[in-house]
Amino acid sequence: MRGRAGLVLLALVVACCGLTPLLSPYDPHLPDPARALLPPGGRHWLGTDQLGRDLLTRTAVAGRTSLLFALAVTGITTALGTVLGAAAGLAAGPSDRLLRFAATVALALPGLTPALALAGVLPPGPGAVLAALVPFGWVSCALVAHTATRRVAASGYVLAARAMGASPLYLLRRTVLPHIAGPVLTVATADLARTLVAVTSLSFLGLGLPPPETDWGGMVSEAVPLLVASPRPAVVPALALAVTGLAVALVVDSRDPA
Amino acid sequence: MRWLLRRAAETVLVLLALSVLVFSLAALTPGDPAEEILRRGGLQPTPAAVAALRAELGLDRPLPAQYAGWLLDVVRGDLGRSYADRSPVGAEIMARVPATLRLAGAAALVAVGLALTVSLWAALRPRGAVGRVVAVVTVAVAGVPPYIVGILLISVVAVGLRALPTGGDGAPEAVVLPALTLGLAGAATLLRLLRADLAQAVGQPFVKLAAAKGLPARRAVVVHALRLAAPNAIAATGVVLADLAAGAVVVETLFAWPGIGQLAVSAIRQRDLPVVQAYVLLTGLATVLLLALADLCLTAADPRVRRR
Amino acid sequence: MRGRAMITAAVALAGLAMAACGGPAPAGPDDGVLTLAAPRDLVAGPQDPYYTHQTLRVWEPLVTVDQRLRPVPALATSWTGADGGRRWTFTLREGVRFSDGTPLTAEAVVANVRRLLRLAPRQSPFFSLDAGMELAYGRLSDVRAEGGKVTFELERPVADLPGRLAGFFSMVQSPRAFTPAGDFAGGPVGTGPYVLTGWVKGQRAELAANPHFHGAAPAYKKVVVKVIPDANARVAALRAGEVDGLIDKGALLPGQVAAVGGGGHTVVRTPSVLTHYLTFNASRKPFADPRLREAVDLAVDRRTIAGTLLAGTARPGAGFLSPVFGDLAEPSVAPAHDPARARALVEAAGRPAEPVTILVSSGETGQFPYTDIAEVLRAAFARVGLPAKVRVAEATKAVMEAGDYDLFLSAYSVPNGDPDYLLRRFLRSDAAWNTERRLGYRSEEFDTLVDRAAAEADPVRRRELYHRVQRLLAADRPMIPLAYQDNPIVTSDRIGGVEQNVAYIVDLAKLTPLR
Repeated sequence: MRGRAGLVLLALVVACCGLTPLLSPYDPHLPDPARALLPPGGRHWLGTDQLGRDLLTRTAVAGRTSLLFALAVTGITTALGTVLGAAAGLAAGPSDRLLRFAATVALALPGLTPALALAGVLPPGPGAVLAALVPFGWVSCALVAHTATRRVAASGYVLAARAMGASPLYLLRRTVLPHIAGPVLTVATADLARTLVAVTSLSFLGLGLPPPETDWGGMVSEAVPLLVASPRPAVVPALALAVTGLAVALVVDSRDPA
Repeated sequence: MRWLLRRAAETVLVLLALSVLVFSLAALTPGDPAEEILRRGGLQPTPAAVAALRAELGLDRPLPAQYAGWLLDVVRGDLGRSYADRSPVGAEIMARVPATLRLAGAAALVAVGLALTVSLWAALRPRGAVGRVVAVVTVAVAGVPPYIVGILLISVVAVGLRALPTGGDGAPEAVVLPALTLGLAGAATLLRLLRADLAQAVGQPFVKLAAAKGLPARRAVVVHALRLAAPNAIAATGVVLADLAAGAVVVETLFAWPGIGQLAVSAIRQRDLPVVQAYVLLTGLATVLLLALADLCLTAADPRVRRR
Repeated sequence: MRGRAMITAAVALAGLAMAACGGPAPAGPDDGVLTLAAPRDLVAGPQDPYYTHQTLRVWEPLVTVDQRLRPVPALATSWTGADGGRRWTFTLREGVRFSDGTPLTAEAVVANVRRLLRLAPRQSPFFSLDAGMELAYGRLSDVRAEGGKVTFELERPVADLPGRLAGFFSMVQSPRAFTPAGDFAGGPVGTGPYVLTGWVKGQRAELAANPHFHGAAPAYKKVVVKVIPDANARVAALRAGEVDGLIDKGALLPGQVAAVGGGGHTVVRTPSVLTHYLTFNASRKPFADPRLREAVDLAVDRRTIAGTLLAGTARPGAGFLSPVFGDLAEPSVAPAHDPARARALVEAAGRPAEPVTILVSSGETGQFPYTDIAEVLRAAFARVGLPAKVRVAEATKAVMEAGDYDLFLSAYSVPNGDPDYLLRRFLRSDAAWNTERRLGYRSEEFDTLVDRAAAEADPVRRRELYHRVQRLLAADRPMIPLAYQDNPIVTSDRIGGVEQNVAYIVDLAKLTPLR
């Protein structure tokens, strides 16, 4: 039930972020200082920010960027993690232990730490965001894929296929992947939630996309200096991100067997 | 005993791997550190000056030798000097450790206190409306970045009600909002684990038996069920504490809290590599030790673990 | 029984909620202790030429400036120039002691001047000692102590040596405070009303009254100046009563001024030496082309920047020198806002192939709404056919030296009323700033005019020369002034005697508790 509510909410957010920029008459990046900080009303549904940009349009465009980046990063890490995890599961032996060790090391750098370290040395830009989040992002997915593969690998039909001389690639594609898709999808949803937090956190810290491109974290960080005088430009993207986070978390929770 | 030795060896191995990763950050950095240092000191980097500084810093040696030298320095507690002002990084970080510890400690109190209170409450009345609300709120908080929770808290409590400072580390009550922000996220993670475990524990025959024998429900839960759920909770607390330390970066930036996280963010913006390296190394070290400690506690609480 | 568990939980939650909402009432200022906050660290440490900023009043200069940037006595009570500006003699105030108890002597002053010259070129977060410093001061041939007076012998005449020395460049501290190399051996040892008793880098400076101070003892015996770089946190600290006031450059963001006034706080706004400039990288395309520099000049809407983005805390920029320079500022320079002509110029010169980069220092975004101004500039340039992108960097010096920018948005201030400081230091063809940061401005006419003005002893002719320099700059446009910034500071209503000079120095010793 909650999972469905989350999906509906997520669909709403995606629709808002996707459609608003197409339908809105306003340019999300064009400042118009004469219309700065207008309150919500008929022309600007959520008002304008400190530079007179329509807050609704801007939040939607920023949301599109946030979601796309989170999806891109999660897509890459999931693909990478699945292949590495499944390969290690099939090969067993030393690659098995190597994966476990990589996971232990990754566990030693919690949260944003590795991303911060990489963002601190790479030149800023969209590439840096990807490069900061991918190298440590694949581990949780690999672990799940690994465990699931081991279970599948021990089953009769994989043993049979192996005995018939099937190539590892064939094994991976035809017998393993279909069976580990479920757990991988679960961990991918959880990863999506985590990545969304990470991407926007990097932007919030000023280590994400350079202006005028912005995401929710960047919008919040831009508006924070004026938080005391006018909180709206910070609160609107914050709420948007909170609602999205809630939606994804609901979906994650419903997939979680615990 | 053998288990302990193996665990210790593994910890050392992880730390070594960590140090290699941190050291290799330097290789990813574009540009020559010696040139960078000279530039920031306000000097024009002439080839001769660059070469001299490279020799002084040992940058002309082969990489493995550089790594060994660096590791030896680190083990001795010498974390190098900041590019920005040539001050020793170790001292700078140590000066900021107390603030971060204070914040993380307060946040841990919030996380553990909140998680315990709420989970006991929910376990005592498994079908109550409160339990369900708490469950949803827990899920919600888990999905929202801490700084967003922080912004909303600031807008309502500090700006709206003018009740608390929005940042800084001056008044004693300044810690409340950042600790609450950071602690809520930790509480959510802990709560999810405790909730499932407690629900399971309450359903166990011996808890039911105890309750049937007339033991008050509160004691039945607290004594029996909590002990049963404890191992997982200890393991989770280790992870949550590590997360708190890492999450402090964002929260410290938002609340202008003068801790290590703020230092790290400003160092990253300034591309001050030695400070960034020290930050990553320290976070890694703290996490590894925390997790090892949690493991140790876990073994003490639940002897079965040792046999695995 | 269940009830009791509920109560326990409820009490725990309520306690948390109280901790979150209530908290102890903000304590009033301790008697005799004043707590202030500034956006940057006003202490720079033992490797710095000065150790502390002048505003902390730990040390005093020979000469300081008044509200109109004119030199006025500090440790020197009077001065005379002779030999057409080649010899200057300063008479010292009597009965002055350093905070270590030793007396101020002419020899001590000489030792300080020699030290500063020896340290050059040393960078400082306040006012760097440039390589050209000695040159700027007319090539000191000798500085000596004679009968309690200090005499400067110059190789070239300098019309206003006192004005050039005013502030940081005539700092005097006890010679015993320095190591032979010129660094500080321990803390600073000055003659000001306060001594530095504690410093946590990047966090706080603690001052206590100097028992040896030659003037009236300050009303506040102890002063704590916290460093709060985040603009929001500064105002929050003020509102919470955690600090009694916010001082220094950029203490309040312009957008915050209206929000903090009233409610027990008073905003003091005075004109300042701070001017926002747009600096061109004319050493490469596209701004090597003067037509495109002119197009930028015409595209910029200075009135909106000053009035809306800087919330009326600034006046639109015109001449290179801001009005605080008094009659040295050239009033006839009046830039126009004409996007149509700008567009025509861009079309005539040819659109640049790539978007131009507007560079902003992240350190300055906590003092001024620079990301917003840069956004507005970007949009204005795009409208006249000049696509642009904004880059916020922490180490702008390195970026500029790599030539990796087209426009640099930044605020500059001066330590005193000496226009030579700005003109020679930034724009002379051989100026380090000009060459190393790739401004690409080469003008013999400018160099000659600046040299002549610096040596001109007659005030009227000197003024005329500076006016000509400014008209030349308005035509050449190596840097264009966007706005002249007032510096708003704010203090609690319980503090009296708040005055700020144009170099945003608040005399801490004059602050008094009211009631």
